[in-house]
Amino acid sequence: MAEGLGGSTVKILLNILNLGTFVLFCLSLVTGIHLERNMAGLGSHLGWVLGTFLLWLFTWILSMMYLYRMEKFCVELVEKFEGPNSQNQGATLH
Amino acid sequence: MSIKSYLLILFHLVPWTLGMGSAFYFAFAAVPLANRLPGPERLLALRRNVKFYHITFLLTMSLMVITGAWRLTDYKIALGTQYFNDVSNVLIVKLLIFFAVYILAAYQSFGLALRLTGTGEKAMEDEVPAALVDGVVHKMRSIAVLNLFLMTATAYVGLMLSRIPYFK
Repeated sequence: MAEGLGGSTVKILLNILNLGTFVLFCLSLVTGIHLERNMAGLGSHLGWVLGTFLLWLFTWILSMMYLYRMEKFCVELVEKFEGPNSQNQGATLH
Repeated sequence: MSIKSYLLILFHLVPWTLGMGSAFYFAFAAVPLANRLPGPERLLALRRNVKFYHITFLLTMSLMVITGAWRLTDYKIALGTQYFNDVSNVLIVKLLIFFAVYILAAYQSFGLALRLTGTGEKAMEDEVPAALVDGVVHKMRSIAVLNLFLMTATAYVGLMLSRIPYFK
């Protein structure tokens, strides 16, 4: 039961993180009007936009994978490196 | 209009076309054709198509986001503080529709398709019950059709955005 709650908490936190990074990306879209006066900051602005997008993409994929199938993926990884019965030694991830 | 702006528009529209094409192919060609095959062959054909469709659709969506965000700098450079008045309403609508497309694509790719393809090395060997395949494929196809409509709506809003005069 506690493990289930722990898993749910991680899923909720990852999805909040995903929304947070999306908000950050949206913020990057409304910044940069200073470029009207001076083009010197164009590179850093584009870096900021690209960086927030990649951050959002990373947290998005992470949260989606964890939300739907990461647990099975983790079990397969453990089986690969520690043998097919290794997941029975501890708590199951399903 | 500078060459850079032309290229950004090109690299924004080409992924849109590819994304629409892949969704159209998946909904109206891949699934109906795979459904004609017998059990194991059907599952294998669906898995191959799903793997192609995921990567293509998600990659094109991501390219569209980044080229669209880059292109907005043209508006910022030209409009300054006027950017918020002229662009914000249309942009918010476009982002909201696109966010729905992205969430649906995420559910389609990670929530539904991984039940068919699985994850990890042994995924392609997994047995999947026919009833589960039917349900998952039906939902994926519906989402692909819905995304076709939503992406058309995004393109319409994008045309509204492109009509905003921003060259001084």
